[in-house]
Amino acid sequence: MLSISSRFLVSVIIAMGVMAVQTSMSNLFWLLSVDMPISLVVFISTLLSDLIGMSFNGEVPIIGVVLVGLLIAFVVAHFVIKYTGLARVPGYMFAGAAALFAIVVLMPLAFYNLDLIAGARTFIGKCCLITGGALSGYFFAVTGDEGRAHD
Amino acid sequence: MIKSISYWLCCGFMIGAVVAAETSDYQTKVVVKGLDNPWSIAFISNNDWLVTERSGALRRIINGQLDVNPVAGVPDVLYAGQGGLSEIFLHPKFDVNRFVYLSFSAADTTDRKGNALVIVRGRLQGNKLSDVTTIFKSDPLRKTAAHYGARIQFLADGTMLITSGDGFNYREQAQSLDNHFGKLLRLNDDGSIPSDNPFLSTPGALPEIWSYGHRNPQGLIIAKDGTVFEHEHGPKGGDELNIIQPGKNYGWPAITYGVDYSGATISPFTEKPGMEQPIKYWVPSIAPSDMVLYQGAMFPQWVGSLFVSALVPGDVRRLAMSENKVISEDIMFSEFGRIRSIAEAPDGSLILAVDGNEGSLIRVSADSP
Repeated sequence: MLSISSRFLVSVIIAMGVMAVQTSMSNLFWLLSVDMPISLVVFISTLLSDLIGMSFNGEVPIIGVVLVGLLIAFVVAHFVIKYTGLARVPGYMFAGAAALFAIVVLMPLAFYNLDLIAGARTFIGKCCLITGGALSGYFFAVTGDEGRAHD
Repeated sequence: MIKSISYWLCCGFMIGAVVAAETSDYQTKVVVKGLDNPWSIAFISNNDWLVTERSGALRRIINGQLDVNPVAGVPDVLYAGQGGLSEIFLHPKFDVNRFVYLSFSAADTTDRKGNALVIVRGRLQGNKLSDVTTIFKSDPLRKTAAHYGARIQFLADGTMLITSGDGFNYREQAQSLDNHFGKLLRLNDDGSIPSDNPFLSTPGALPEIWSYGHRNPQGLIIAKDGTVFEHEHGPKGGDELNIIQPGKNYGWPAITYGVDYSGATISPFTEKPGMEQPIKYWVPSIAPSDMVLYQGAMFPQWVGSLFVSALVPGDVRRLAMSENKVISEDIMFSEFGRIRSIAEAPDGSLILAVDGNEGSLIRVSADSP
């Protein structure tokens, strides 16, 4: 079994990965729609560039925001699961989704509706990123052994 | 040892002399303090100025004294985010018709979540605006309070150009001609559409569009020979200085020298046939906020230079120009902080508007003889 910190970091990477891929694809598909020459090489290099760029090169490193969001959500989920008997998998999935909901839906409200994550400007984009949060919660839940009795 | 010290002392004196020679060309003086986010300046005369405060007031400065009473009759503005009262521009025949133009963000009266860039025209009578009429309202509405553009200039033919930003969340719309996001627009002085605008016969295009593919254009100046200089904020890097020609596509966001604030790629491309290149771009960003093409008599050495005010880190860039190309860039006035606006007064002095809720106006003038 992975240590809890390793599981958590992989969960953050999963959420970041979904965010980067979704943002890259939404940008690249739009560029294709206006006849920009998007080759396979451009496609792949942009995906990789966004994964690194969004993690470390933003005005506010998004990975830090995701990390803090998931940390709070998973700690809360831990206690909720412990004291309410809620099943681990849906509990952490909901927590991950809630963290990303806060980042892509609630946070922009504090910035006059500015969506700093371009992939989150559409309803479908927001849904994708929230699903990424749920996936990271799923990974965190199924790779751990503590509290397994609740499942 | 002594030789070495003498050498360094000599170098120090020489550098000091050069700096003194550079800085002794002008002096700076705070003219007005206590302005709430000053955004734009207009000169009725050398001693009678108008300045907009983004929070919604139009203030008058007479003989260097700020009138405590704002100009009455200014419409309500949406003061949020980057929005609020923005540009003030006098009609070229202001002495005759007393028309002034204001740009601002305004909440929509029916859709309370929506807002728009609005241009009004009014007559300045004493300390009051009268006959205020809306001559332009951007379409469609936006839900964000950012990237309005909002600069105004008049062309020699009496028509006016307006910059309209992409609204931040709507950047792709800058490439479509059916909306006002990321466009330069051309109107007659009463808001009607000139009969020779470039997209009048393009199906689906809005008739007031003059150029497109812009992000957040906040600098606009027209040279005596008709050249239209425009600058616009890039994202993280990629601020641009452009020469605008009617009907042309300036590329945003299909081509750009910047990346998104999140660190994501906006476009991997910086050029494409059919899309115009800037004559200069800045990476990292300087956040260009306004621009003047110096023509005054006070500083003959600066005639023909573009002065670009910048918010980050806060200075003015003097761009020496030759045949519409930038040949050098000097950083000036970096001691004041974020410079929101720059204007040339009738006497040839430069006036800088320092940003902030305790903003000020700084006058740059030649040394007294």
